[in-house]
Amino acid sequence: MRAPERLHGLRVVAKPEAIDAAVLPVGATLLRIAPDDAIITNVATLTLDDPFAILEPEYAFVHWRLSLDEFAEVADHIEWPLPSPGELGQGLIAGVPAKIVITSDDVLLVVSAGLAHELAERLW
Amino acid sequence: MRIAVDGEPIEYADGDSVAVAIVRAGQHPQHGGTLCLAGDCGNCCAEIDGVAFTRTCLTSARPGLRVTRHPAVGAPALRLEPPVDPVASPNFATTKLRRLHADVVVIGAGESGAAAAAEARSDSRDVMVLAGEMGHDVVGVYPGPVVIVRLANGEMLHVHAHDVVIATGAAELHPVCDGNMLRGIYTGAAAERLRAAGVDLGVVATVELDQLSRVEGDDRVTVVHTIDGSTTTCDSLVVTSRNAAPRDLLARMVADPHVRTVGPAAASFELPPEPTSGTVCPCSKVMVEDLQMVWDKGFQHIELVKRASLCGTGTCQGGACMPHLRAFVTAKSGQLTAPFTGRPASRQLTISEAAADMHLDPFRRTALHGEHLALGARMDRFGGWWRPWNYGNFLDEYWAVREGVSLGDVSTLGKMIVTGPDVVEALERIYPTTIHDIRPGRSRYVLLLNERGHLIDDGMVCREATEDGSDRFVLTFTSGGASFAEAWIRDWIESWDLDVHVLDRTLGIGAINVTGPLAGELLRRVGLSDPPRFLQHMHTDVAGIPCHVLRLSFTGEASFELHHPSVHSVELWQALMAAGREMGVRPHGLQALFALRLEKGHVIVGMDTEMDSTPRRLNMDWAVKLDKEAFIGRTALLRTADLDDRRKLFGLTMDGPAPVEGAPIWVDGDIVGHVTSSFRSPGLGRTVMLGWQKHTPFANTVTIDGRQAHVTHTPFYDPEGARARA
Repeated sequence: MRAPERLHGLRVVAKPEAIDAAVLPVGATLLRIAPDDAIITNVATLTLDDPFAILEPEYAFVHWRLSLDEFAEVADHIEWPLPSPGELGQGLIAGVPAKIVITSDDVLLVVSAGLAHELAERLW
Repeated sequence: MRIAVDGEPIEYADGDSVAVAIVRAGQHPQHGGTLCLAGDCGNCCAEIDGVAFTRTCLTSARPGLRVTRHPAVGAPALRLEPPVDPVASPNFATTKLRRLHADVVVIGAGESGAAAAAEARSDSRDVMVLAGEMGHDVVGVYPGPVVIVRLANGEMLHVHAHDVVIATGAAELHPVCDGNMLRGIYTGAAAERLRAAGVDLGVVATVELDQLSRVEGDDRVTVVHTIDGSTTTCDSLVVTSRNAAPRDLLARMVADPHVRTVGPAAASFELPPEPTSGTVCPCSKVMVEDLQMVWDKGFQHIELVKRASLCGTGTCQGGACMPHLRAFVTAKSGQLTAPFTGRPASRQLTISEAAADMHLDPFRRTALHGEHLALGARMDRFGGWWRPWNYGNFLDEYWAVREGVSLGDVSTLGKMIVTGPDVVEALERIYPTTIHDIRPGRSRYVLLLNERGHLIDDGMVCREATEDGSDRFVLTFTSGGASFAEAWIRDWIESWDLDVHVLDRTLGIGAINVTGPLAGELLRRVGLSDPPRFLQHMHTDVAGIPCHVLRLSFTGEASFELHHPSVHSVELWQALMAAGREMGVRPHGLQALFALRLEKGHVIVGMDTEMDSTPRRLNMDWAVKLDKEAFIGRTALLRTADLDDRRKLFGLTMDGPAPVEGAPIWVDGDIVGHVTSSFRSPGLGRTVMLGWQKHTPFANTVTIDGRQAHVTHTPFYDPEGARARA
């Protein structure tokens, strides 16, 4: 399996309504980790209606873009219900904490950079 | 076509199961007992190709297959694979697992199963049917519900379903009477299967179960007695019954509203007569007199009878004995007795099958993992991370810190940003020291206590200087405590309904500790000419990389933690190593770090502390401000403040080599505690230790490893802290 790529974007912790109201640029993807916590890919700055919002460049994660066929093999290692298309799913994959977003074309598989080697060894 | 049974070849016919082939050869898969050939009992289990407790009636014969009978008494020997290197391979499971999802899973493809499947499909639900004849060996149903299946190809299947329908039908009853463990006894359906396969059963006596009195023979049935007094000579006994017991073991394993049982598996059932003699549980070899004995001892409930006698705890989990056990308890108690709870798995699994897709906890690598390996580091697991233990010679690393400059990878430390209008209030309540008086650009060492006042973690609180003057802090935690600390802090903030934002940056922020008397000089060489003073911190570029520089000291020497984006860790590390080459810079691992901090008397939470270690027991009362209005643990500390402490962590010194960590501490022939950390210090010329005394009065002189050791104030090294502040 190819090496994972770094996930570029912003990590945002803010009031949930501020994240809800955020206007994302074209090409950005919102990965909603928790109501007050999100990763927004492919953005460097963002304006939020929350003076105490924490916005930091995200360095922690890497990702793979998997074809649906490639993901079918990964899915054998997922024991939680798969998320609806476009929604973020989080949980253990082969015992490693990871996140997935399934679209009609492919699947975004995100894992912390420090655990990418473990996930790759266990999946492939 | 032949298979080998206990090393002897026997012929089999097309379509034979292993059990049928063995019976065809005039033998028994075990040493006796009724054969049902339907998978309901354990009487045909044997070792097949090295796997014990395999049902021979459900295993197709194939050329070269090796069958070994289980011993007549006791269990087959456990086969262990050769040990593996736990460092090299964290993944032991070899059996492939597939996970599937379905709206409805129907277990059983008979009449009732087919009806249930059709009904679900008519509601446009996604239906999966699992049945033995389709190669599915259902071994358990767990809450969820999740159905665990072993496939004929050796793979495991975990099916996550919204609803599970158990339609497994009913099973024939096994006879319980004297002689029922002889060979040559079959249920009615088993006899039909054997006849259909062309197996000659010889002279057959067919007896209704409730008419059977006893069976005689040396090792194989020869004479059958019925309750009407008649006697029949035969080669085989076929026992029929009007009644059939629900195959409800899977249903009894799980209490889940989404699991239901249909058809004969759910039907009411007339219990057989109370057994009066013979073997009730063939798997555990439990006889009627065993049941009577435990009943007479007071175990007068079916769950207690089961546990006291082991009846129903064997291979078939009550498949053969349950009706008779219920009949026994019902007759004794005078009340109709329900079956006992089923315990997964209903089929024997190998460890590999049970562990399919199970993994050890993953251990994270820092961004510098490759650098450590390139430098010859011996890596080890610590606090959820792979960390360098040493780079070949930890004493060289120790001296580099004490006399020169050294780098340590501390990326594993917990790092958290907290902001919000209530952040000061929250931190005042969380930490036992004052927070509001930490000025921007300053930091403070803090303890994290639980409600009982016991230490659960420690770290630093750094107040940031913000452009708009808003409150923003960076908190640090121990490597192993970071994720718990995050959950702990979030829980409390939510409980208090405070407006605070929390962001755990542990994984995205690397950290390199530059430490030693030449640390400042090394930083100057990479562009940081005015580093922060002791317990100050600042944001600045180091070697062109944006860093949050924290000045503190765990090693006892001047130390600067360079927190930076982990994507730049390698670049920063290499720049520091290159700039420090002429100064003899070298990295240090955990082994050296533990020794260095021990000389300073710094505790490591979880290593030197125990579950109930209060700050006072650790001599860290100075980090607690009991005059604060409120903080987690304050009430407990106040309540116990005036009580004598009966355990305490002490600094200890002694001559000679360091005892092992964990060594007992003796006073007057009694063990009073143990050593938590020890190190033969080349710098101090003696062994230094931390250790607990748990008996009062505390002794000033103790014995460890047969040698005298003396209680000594900490820090052992640079007690004034001049070097750390230099």
